[in-house]
Amino acid sequence: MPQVSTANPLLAGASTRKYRTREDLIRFVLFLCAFLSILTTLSIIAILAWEAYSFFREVGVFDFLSGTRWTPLLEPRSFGVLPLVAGTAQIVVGASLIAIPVGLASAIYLAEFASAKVRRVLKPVLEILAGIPTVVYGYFALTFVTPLIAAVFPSTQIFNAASASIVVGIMVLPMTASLCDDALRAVPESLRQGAFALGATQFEVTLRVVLPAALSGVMASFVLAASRAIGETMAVTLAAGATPKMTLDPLQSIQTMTAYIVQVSLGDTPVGTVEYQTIFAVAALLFTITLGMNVIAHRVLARFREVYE
Amino acid sequence: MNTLTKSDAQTLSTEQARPVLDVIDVTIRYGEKPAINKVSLSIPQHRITAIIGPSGCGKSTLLRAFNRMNDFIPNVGMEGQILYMGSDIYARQVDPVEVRRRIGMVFQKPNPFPKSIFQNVAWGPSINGFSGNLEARVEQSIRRAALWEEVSDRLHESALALSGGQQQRLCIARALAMEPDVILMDEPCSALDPVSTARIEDLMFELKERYTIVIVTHNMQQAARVSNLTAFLENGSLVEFGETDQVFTRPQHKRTEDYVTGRFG
Repeated sequence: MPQVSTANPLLAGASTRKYRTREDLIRFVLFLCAFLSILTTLSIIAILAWEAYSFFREVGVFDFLSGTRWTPLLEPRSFGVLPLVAGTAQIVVGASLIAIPVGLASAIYLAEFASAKVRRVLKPVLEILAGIPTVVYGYFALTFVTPLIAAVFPSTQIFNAASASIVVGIMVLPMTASLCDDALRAVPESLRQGAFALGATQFEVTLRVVLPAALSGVMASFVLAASRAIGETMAVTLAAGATPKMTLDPLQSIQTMTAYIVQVSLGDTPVGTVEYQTIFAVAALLFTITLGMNVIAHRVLARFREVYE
Repeated sequence: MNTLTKSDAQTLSTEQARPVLDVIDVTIRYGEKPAINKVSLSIPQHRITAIIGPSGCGKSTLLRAFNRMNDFIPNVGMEGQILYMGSDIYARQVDPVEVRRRIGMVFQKPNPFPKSIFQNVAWGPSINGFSGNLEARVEQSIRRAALWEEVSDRLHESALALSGGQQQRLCIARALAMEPDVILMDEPCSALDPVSTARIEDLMFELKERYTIVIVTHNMQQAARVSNLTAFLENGSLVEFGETDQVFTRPQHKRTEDYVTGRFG
């Protein structure tokens, strides 16, 4: 049997221990930084939950979720959130109609057709576009897009869903394109080569091999784009209006969940009243919807990764 | 006539076999650096031709020139001519898509599409406007690739669920479904275990009845086992090209002898 040496050279020197202490300290500080962001998120959720709970002691959850009249600040007061949900849905659908086809097409061009040179320029440009402050998009909607729509449809209201949808679509377009591009490029080169070797054209390879193989990544990017459109605030506050309304006419003024929260936060609603607590209830709903969509997107992406790794 | 010895008959048949591919003075460059240097050789019909040589000698580059797969690599330049049945495949008016329909390819790593077994094989014919009986074509191709027994009851399951060796035979079936004249194989067994390798080698013997096969391999035993002709490349130049027996037993060049006897490589 091997003898354990009593004078273990590996344990010699106090310097080793000092070194270890410093390592531990650094690790602890880094952990604190990481923990801080989790803590912040948790506190936000806690406040949301608490304030929403207070709200729901006054107003029934069912009345809130199924009511079709949202007039918390006017008499007779009514707390049916559906008009705000409908407003948000209208923006999301409109924005998706722009962002999904154009974003996917740009991604296909970038990933499959563009030369390395073109790509080197276009990809960073896309990412810069994603960094434009959203308030700029809001003014763009009001001062440029709305007059344009009004020129075609004279019945257009100054604040309208169409204009906001269009700019939100443009706003989430770079993200959609960039995420789709990542998904397409994650398809192994060997699949493209295999398809080309069977006498496929570039278009056939893209449409019938690469796109199906990247489908879950592409779908996930659509969900993330929609989730981003749901949470979008500035542009819809500026351009879509402040009229909670269930309408399918995109030329009318509406109000989204986010725009309502802005309206009440900026107004003189007294803290602690039911009117004030409505924003937490709406925020909690908004949070639940976007969280759900992000979870779906990540699930879909995780399945996609399993196939290739 | 009937006084010919067996080996005479073999030599004669090789010489008389029509060349399917004629490589004439081909030089291929990546940027400035030549990867293939003035190579000329003729690949006869219904034979297995092996291209061997040390890593980086350009054997894959040469093989990929036969179906214009090098077109996808930026900055690749080619001089010389490659004739398929007498026609220049690099002529201006030739569509590389047409070349690849006639000259199929099997890659180093099995690369089935993430689709069902059936769809993998049916894919080539269906994009190329095949109007006959697709199911019969798929079955025939899978049978020829010696895979039918193993997959006939699960044609609609994912091809990714097959083993590596089965995937590679599926890729061969996929290439066969296009009914090509030539099948290029780029180290088709390098990612496979010995049993799967043996199956693919057996398959190649059967396939040469109908198809012309060109195989790149770094495995000299494999070249000796399966091929009729062997080309030995070194540093992008063709050192020796001839009957496999002769190249392995009576090489004309010292470098070939050193390589096939394992002195380097």
